[in-house]
Parts: sequence; C-alpha cells; structure tokens
Amino acid sequence: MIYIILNLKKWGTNMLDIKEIKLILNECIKTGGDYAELFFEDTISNNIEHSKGFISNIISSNIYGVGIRILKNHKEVYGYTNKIDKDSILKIVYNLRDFFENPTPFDYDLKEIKINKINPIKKPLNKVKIKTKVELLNNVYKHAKEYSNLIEQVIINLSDRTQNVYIYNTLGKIVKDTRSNVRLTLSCIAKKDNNLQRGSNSLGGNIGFELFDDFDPKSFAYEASKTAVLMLDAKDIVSGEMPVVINNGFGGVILHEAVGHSLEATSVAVNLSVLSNLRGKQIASKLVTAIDDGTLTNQWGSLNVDDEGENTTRNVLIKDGILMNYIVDMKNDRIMKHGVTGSSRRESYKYSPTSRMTNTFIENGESTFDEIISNTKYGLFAKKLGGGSVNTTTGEYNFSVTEAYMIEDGKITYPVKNATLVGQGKKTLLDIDMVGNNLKLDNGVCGASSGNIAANVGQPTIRVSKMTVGGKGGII
Amino acid sequence: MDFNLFIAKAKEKLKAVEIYYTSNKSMSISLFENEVKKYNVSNLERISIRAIYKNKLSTISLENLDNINEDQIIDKLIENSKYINNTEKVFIYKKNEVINNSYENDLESFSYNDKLELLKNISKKTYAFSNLIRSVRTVYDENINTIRIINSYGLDKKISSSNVLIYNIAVASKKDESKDSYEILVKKNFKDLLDNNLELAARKAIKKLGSSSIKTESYKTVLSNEAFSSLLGGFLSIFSAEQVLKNMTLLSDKINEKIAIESLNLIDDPFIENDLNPILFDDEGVNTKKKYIIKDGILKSFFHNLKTSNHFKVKPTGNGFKPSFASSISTSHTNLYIKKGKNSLKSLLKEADNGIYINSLQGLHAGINTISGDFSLQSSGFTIKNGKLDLPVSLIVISGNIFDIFKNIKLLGKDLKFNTSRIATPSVYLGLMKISGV
Repeated sequence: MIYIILNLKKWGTNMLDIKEIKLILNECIKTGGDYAELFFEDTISNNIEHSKGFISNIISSNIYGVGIRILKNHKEVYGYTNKIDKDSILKIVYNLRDFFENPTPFDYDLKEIKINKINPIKKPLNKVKIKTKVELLNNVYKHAKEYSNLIEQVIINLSDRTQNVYIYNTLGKIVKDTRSNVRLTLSCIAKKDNNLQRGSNSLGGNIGFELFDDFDPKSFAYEASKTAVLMLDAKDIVSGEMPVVINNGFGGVILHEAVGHSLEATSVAVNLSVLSNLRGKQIASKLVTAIDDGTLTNQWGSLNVDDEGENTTRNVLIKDGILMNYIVDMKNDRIMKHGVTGSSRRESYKYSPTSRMTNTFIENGESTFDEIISNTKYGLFAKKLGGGSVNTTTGEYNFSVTEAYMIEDGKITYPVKNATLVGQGKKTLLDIDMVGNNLKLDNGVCGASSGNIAANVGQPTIRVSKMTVGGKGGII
Repeated sequence: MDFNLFIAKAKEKLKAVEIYYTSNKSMSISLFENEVKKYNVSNLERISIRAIYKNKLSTISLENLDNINEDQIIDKLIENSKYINNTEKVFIYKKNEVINNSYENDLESFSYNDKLELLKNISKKTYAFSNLIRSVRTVYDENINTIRIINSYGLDKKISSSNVLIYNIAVASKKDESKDSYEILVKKNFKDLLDNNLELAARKAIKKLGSSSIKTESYKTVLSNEAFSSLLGGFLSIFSAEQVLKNMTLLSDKINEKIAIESLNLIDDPFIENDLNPILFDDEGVNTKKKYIIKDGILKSFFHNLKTSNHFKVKPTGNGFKPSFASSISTSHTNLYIKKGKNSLKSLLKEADNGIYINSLQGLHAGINTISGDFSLQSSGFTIKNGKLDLPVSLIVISGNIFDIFKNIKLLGKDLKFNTSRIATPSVYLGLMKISGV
C-alpha cells in the first residue's frame, strides 16, 4: 500500500472537503462508537432494451448518496441519505450516535490508500456511444432470430454501471475506487403450437466495453436460441431420487446455494448457519476444492477493494473436502476473529455491507466430461441451471434446471423440462463423486440482506450421486 | 428543483414530460437474542423523469437533486430517445387533475423507547415459549413515504402515507437440527401492532423439528393460504396486458372464457385492505379502481397501463406500476385477493383425509414457467393423517400447472390472509398433486 499525502481536494462536484469529512467522522465517535465509516457513492447506470426487433427502451439513472456506519463491538447503527451536505449528514449522525454510551475518544489520521487495480478498464463505459451499443444489440438479435423460424421472441438487455465509491473510515483509510460493470443478457422464446420454451445466455464483467472486442454475437445468440428450440421437444422430468450430472459454468449455482451463503459470516458469526463451527471438518467429498476469489482480473464478481475498503482475496473455502475458511467481512470478524477475507459488499449506499460472495467456484478435478457421462447408468444431465435459493439456518436449498437431458446407459438421450432440485447443504457436497476438468465461470445476480450484487458462479462438470428431483412427469 | 419551472423549460423542446418524485424516511430497530444489534435510519429523495420526444419515450432517474443541470438532462432525454425505434405508441397521462392526499399516522406519538419495549416484549415471550428456542430476532420497521407525479398536461397528484411492520424470527434447535419460522405484522399505525401474537413464530419453528422428506408419489394436497398466495404472486404476469402484447401468456385470447372453477373470483381492489392505506393512483397517475380479474371462473380483465389499454381499446384499469424506481412502466396489482369460500381449514384437511398439507414454497423466482404455467417448487409442511395434521415434512418438491389448479380446485377455504406483497388467498384443497421426495 502506498500512502498519498492528502491535499484539501473537494470530493466530486460537492461541497465536502476533507476537513468536513474528518469533522463528521469525529462527531460519529463522540458518544462511544469505536469505528465510523462514510461510504459515498456516485453511480451512473444505463440500460438499453431490445425487444420485438426494436430498441424499445433506454433508461439512464444516477445513484448518489452516502451511507454512514458506526460500530461499537458487534452493535451497528446505519443511516443513509442522498443529501450530501454537511448539515444533512450530521442530522443523521446525531440520531445514530445517540445509541451509544461511554465516550472513548480516539485519534486517527486520514490517508488515501493506493489500491490494487485488479480490473483495468480500457474502454470506459460512460464514453461508449449509444450507437455502438445499439449495433451490438441489433447484431445479437439478427443471429438469435435467424437460428430458427420457431423463435418467436427475442429480448436483449445491455446494462452498464460505472460506480464511483469513496470510503472514509476511522481506521484512517481513504479508499477511492471505480467499478465498471457491464452485462449483456439474452432471452429467446421458441414457439410450437401452444408450447413456449425459453433459452438464455449472458456475458458480463468488471471491465470496460473491451469485453465485446472478441465477442462472437452468432455463437452467443445461437446458444440461447438452440436451448429454446430443443426444449420444445422436452418431456416433463420424472420425479424422485437419482444421480445428477451438473454441467460446468452456471452449474456452479449448486455450490452457491448449497454452501456458499452458509459460509458467509452474516449467519456464521451469530451461530445461525448450518455450517457454523465446522472449520477443519469434512463437509464435502475429497474431490471437492472450492474457492471464492475476488481478485480474478476483470471478472463479473471481482473487485479492486471491497465495500469496507479492504483488499479482496483468493479465499480457499474448502480443500479436498475440508472446510478451511469462511467468507468474512471486517465487522463480523469482530465476533469471529477468523481473519478478514475482503468480502464486504453492498448493492449501494442504501445498504449496510456484509459478507457476500465474489467469484465462487469448484476447482478442476481429474475426470473428463465424457468419462462422467459414460460412467452414469441412469440419471439427469442438468446442462443449464436457472436460479435458486437457500435457508442458511437449515441448509435447505433449491435450484431450477432450464435445460436438461436424461442419461441412460452412459449416454445422453432425450431432453426433459421443469426440473427443480432440492437438497441439504451439509449433505450435498459429500455426495459429489466425480469432478471434471473443464472449469468455467458464469455470471449472475445474487440477492441477500445487503441487496443485489454481481456474482460469478462456476465449476467443472460434476456428478452428485443422489439428489431429489422434482418434476411433473411421472415417478421413477 | 422547481418541478413546474423544469416542466415549462422542458416543454420547449419535448412533446410531454413527467416527473415522478418520491421521498422516503425510515427507521428500523433490530433486536437479536434480546439485545439491540442494529439501528437504521434513512432520508431519501429522488426523481424519475420521463419525456416524449418525437413520439419516443425515454427515462432518466436522479438522486443528486442539488446539482441538477437541467439543460443537460433535457439533452440526454432527447439523445436517448433518438435511438428508440420501435413503433409502439407512448403515453404520458393526458389529464389535468390535482390530488393532494395525506394519511395520518401515530408514529410521532410514540418514542423510540416505546418501540423498543414492544420488541423486547415480543422477544421475551418468544423465548419463554419453550426452552427449545435457541435464537430470536425481532425487527421493527417504520416508513413514511410521499409520492408525487406531476406532468406537462397539468396532472399533479401527491399522496403521503406510512406503514409499520414487525417481523419475528424464531430458531428452534434440538440436538443437531435447527428449524426457523417467522410471524409478520404490517399495519398503518404503531398502536395497531400492540395487540399481536408474534411469539407464535416459536410454535411454528418447534413444529418443524424432526421433519423429513417423504416418498415420491401423488398426494391429496392442501395448500395453506400463505403458500397459495405466494404461488399466485409468482404467476401474476399471466394477467398482465404487457405479456398479452408480447404473446407471452396463455391467457391472451381468453377474455370472457372460463378459466377457473365457478366459485373462483379474483379481485383487484385498491381500497380493501384495512391494515394499509389505500393506493389512489398508479405510477402513471391514473386513478385506481376495483375490478374483477376473474369473476365466477371467467376471465374478465388484464392488468393494464395506458399503453396496453389504448392498444386493446379498453378503459385504463389503473394498474400501470413500475417494478422498481428506475425502471419503465409495466403492470402490477394494488390489493389482489381471491374471494373466500365457505370451508374452514379443518374441513379441507378432513376432505383430504390422508395426504399432505403444504404451508411454504421456496424458489419462486426460479422454479416457475410463467408461459406454460408449469411449476416445480421446494416445499414443506405436514402430512395429513385421518383428516388431521401429523408429521412435519421438508425438502420435497411439488409440481403442477397453475392453469390446471384454477380449473381443479376442489374446495376453497375461508381463511383469507394478506401477505406483504398485498396478495391474499384462502387455503385450498387441490386434490392429487405430484410430490417428489425420496
């Protein structure tokens, strides 16, 4: 870390200078708080929607405000407002700090910290011409539609967000960072008689518009249209327990829901996670090594710094089936004393931050995709997953499957639809009995107590020896 | 920002302009294991501006209200609109009407300590319920909101209202197993929260202990009011005129056709819920009104906004809402409910005799197909044995189709209950449903 001598610079376009910020922070800790933090945010986001063959909607928004946090041990007070002037902020501070007693004043110097630029930006999103974005969307549309005349609807969204954050805290840190998130999502609907089925694809990163430099709109679009058309012939999945092969990429939703959330300090710190107090214990099969890595260059879930101003890390969660580390933010580490993993995240200044995932994936194993399939006498091949959810107290989770096939005698046979899988986080990973070598990451949006955030999931193709599969089509 | 001045200025270049302004003040207290662990306050004002330029509509949302460069905003609205090339008609409500309504609340008459006392009371009672209760979180939340919609046609509608909420989560543990459950109460005024039985979250959590999955089979199924209302909530888009326009709902051509059992009435009523203040107008400024979506089993109406009501040549229904502050107008309900039947939950269970009672559904954002109506959802509840609730069940999947359910409800309960999404259904007996387990 390199310390820069601070000059009396005005922040953004506003009236707050460093003297005022120091004053506000001092007012925060006047009544006994042992930590105070100001999280300023100035974000521009744009969303362009392409539907029914046309550019149908363009929305631009500015998210702008400050989140004020004061801690004393494990207690937290939080306030936010879009009114960034000294008096409006102080009004909130006076309200919040009344909460604490026994003033224990302490001193600190504010110094700006030079952060690791893990996510270089070559083509800033707010400098990209609308014309360029429109061309991209039109291209994707053209290919999605041409795939088959069964494609009835194509909906594409290009969203970009340039988030400028300015964090000041009583640890003496000034951290300034710009997050550049861009994401393209495509949804294709195929129709045959009264049967409508969906296929989708998405691409995103913490990166500039250079994300699309090597982009192939045809293969991107075909993947979504292909799924939609294939699923028209899908039968309803049979129900019951069976082996499940989960494909790479977005298949990583299983890790995210089965254990990911249950490893976040949010519930672990207060003993309310099904995986609390299991460090050093075996929670997965020996084949499973799982990582949460916020330092992967330009990945959708990556950050230069987290929302408390801490460096992101490559955090080994599970190694050869043993639980190694939890996902821990600074605030919850006050209880856990585990070691901060740079995992504090929030959707915007309107939320108090807590530990969240970044890019979370299972590491490569030894088997090939073909070996896994041919080794499976009967089961489900879940090629693409939808979303899911989990109750971290009980460990019970679910996720849906958007493209799937049966495996019969070691071969992929007919397509099936409407499958939802459920399981218990403590048990599922123990049942993984094959791990492939084709690791892939995929992008999603994760919602929890600190709002919606960009998160990657990922894995190679894996097999779970037994899972409960729910569907409409008869019983095994 | 002076809204009228901005609108006057914008009108020099734009055909029509609308400002959607909200102000929100909130406070919440979170009690965890009998200690106050979190206290939150907020003060937020923001605006969303929609403008029509050469028959194209674009939207800009702003939170930095002290530094607005009005010319820049107008130019950006125009620039954005230039790239929109669909041929749909666009609308900003052409109505010269003024409303200024404010619903009173009693929040100022109660102190922070009053509110904390209530939380402590509930928490104590919840712990006292049983020594199996390991952890309790009780949260109080109050919100005061103002919405104002003002446009270049002379529309100026403003409404201020508030609500309070308490939710109580109890965790019950026995040996290695933990189960949680919650109770939630939403009201207009603080004093309405004082008479509650939120400690019953404890009983619900304890009853879940020892749950297991069940054999995969078709079971006679009763859905609780909460489970059914969450299922209906997941499928709301099937009634949206926007989805009809896109040909993405199977109900597109079914107006005046029978789509449900005769005793099913689905009503959207902005004024019914006594626990909350009425919703006077939608996000386009159109006055809301009560309507039947399904009447005696027949589909009568979709949820419309100005664009869809114009397209389908019907009167606006006042359902033009946007899903989030910065998004564009879509459709949504106000207070949506299924008219209650005559049967108690007891009699529904008796009718099922031996089967399953499901009182919770999970994964609704992922496990449903709003186009086909199919769903496969994680669920939990109890087995029904000889007409009574028996053993707790979890980690099962219920699969079915919402359109089939509408046509095959065997018995409608009478225990209507609104959830926090303003949707209410009674419990229902569905007959045989596919349940996957072990």
